[in-house]
Amino acid sequence: MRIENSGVSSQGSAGNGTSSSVKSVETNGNGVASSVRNGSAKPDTGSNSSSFTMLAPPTPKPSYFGHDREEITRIAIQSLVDLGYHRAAAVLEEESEYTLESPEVSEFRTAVLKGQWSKAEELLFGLEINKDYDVNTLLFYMRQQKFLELLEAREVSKALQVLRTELTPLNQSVEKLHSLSSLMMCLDAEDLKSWAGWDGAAGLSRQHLLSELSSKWTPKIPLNVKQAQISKCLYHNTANSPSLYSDHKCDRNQFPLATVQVLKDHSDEVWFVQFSNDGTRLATSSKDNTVIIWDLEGFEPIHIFKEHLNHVTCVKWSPDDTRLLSCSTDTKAKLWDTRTGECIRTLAAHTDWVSSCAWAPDGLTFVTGSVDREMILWDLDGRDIHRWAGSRIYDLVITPDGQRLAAICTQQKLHVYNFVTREKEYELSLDCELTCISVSKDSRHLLINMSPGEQEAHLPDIETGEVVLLDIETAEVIRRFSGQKQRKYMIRNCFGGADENFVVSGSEDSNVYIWHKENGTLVETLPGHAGMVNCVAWNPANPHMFASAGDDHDVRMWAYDFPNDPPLPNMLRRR
Amino acid sequence: MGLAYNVYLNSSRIYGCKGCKTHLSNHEDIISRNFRGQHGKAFLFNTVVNIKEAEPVERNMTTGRHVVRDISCKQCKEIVGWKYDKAYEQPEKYKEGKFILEAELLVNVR
Repeated sequence: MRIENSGVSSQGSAGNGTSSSVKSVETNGNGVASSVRNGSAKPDTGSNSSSFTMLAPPTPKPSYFGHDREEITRIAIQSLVDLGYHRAAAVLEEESEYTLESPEVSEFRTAVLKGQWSKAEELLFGLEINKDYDVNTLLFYMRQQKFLELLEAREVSKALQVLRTELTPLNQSVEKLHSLSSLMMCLDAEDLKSWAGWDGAAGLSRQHLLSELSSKWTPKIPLNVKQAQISKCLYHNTANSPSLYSDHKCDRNQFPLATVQVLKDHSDEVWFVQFSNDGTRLATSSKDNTVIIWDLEGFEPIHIFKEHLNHVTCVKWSPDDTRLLSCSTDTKAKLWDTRTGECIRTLAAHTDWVSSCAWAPDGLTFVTGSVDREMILWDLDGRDIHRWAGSRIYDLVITPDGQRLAAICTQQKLHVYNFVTREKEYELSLDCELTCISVSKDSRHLLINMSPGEQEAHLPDIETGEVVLLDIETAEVIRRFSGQKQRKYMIRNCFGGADENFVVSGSEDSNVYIWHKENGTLVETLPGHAGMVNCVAWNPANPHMFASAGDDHDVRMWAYDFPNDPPLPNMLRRR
Repeated sequence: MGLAYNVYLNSSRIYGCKGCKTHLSNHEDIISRNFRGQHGKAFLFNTVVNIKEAEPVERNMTTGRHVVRDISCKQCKEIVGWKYDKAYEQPEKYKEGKFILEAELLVNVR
């Protein structure tokens, strides 16, 4: 069994703070409850000031297959607790003398989960808090929860008192106080929950609070066994959890590294490619002013849309795949019926190139973006419902949970809006030309292509771009992937693989670049196109297939070449 | 060639192509207003954007012999002026690498 504590080191090397290590615990599927149970031993046995009751083991013991005994033991105890073997966990704690949690921490945890706020505040001062954190910040978190719970119980005057006498004196951000006070206007508990993005005392909010607080007083031991295996497996392309009994490794031969089909019907550069959500069709758009919908059984065009008067920059399938949106430099966007091939609507409100579009997850509305400084929210009847003005938009996405709209603009900025309230949440200057934005399936991460841009003649010519993975909530950069060449053109990226384990990008050097998402390694650079690779897309229904679109007028379909057992027999027909 | 957007300028006074309004240069980038082109008044600019340069040719102008290339709007392909590659006379050297846009072919855009 290979158990690595690489969760800590890989996160650390990516330059993340505490908040992201909390997140990594959650992604492992351990949930909040287990993350708060991660206690810590004081390594210094001589210290009397320790508020933890346990002692370090009397004599240092040899390591376990090269791993720290204490870490292994803690993981074992935690796993036993998670699996419900509480007695076994207690026995192991006793025998090993490692405990997961001090009695103080456990008492504090109980107080918070039961909503005993004054007791919890008292206990908080007995805990060892990381010196980097201000106690007032922690108090603010707790009192904020108390305030929200009072509002939820409609005890408005008590809530107001908490706001005035407990929250305000903590000298935290005025903006936070303002937003809290605005919540007093909510009509009822439901209203409050939706405005505050908070799920109530009975929901998970206390556990969230606890996990937020606990990150401030103990170094965590993220249970990262699975993650460690995945982050070491270069070609990891399965959504199933790897076995813990053997070193896990996906075979390179089963990775889509071979062009199994070249689609040649476009008569000019292909700029955009996207699979239908059910993975059975492909839509491509081109400088030749057309959009083609391909059938992936026989790789034949099903429809060719010829109504745009100029180049087609972008196409997007509706969530149910019955509609397709296309954007053009003719300043129009068009809505198509993907079964009949008919143009249902022409959206003619933009005054400059339409660069991008995205569907709301319910398929009832969509947004188009343009370099004319506007993003427009439309309904299916072509009525314009809302406009966000001010920035010249290159690309935009709506998160799959429908909560956010994120866009990149000509001024090198990322703009993030609350898609429900339509208010702006933040903007972030990235100091580089931005050419593409994608969003992860879990709505938490953004992938943005950054180009060094055109350099002044006297400067050295830099042409290596970067793809950055951002946390949409905190706006922090989680990881950078570098290698693809780009300077002038809209080079696109995508997440790829069964569990979005990969990051993929086109490149001006005619290769497709694929990185491992967890460890940032460049896994493959795939040649094949005879010109720039403008766009890449991974089949959402088949982790072993992706597509790339190039300046050579070609769309290349990639899969693994399996000589004896062709995965898709008819793939080779039109080669 | 790939998909490349036009460059958008941010100055408060921008000169664009008269035909298609594509941004060409900032008012602040004017070096001299004392020039004449085929269509009358013309300005000498330090930099211009969104243009395509034609092949260089030698031309005799009122101020002497120059190597110039015509420049056209990237969007609508209309010729909007020229660029000086080389001036043979010493006093005209300052024009090298600079651009002429003809006033008649420009429009103020935002």
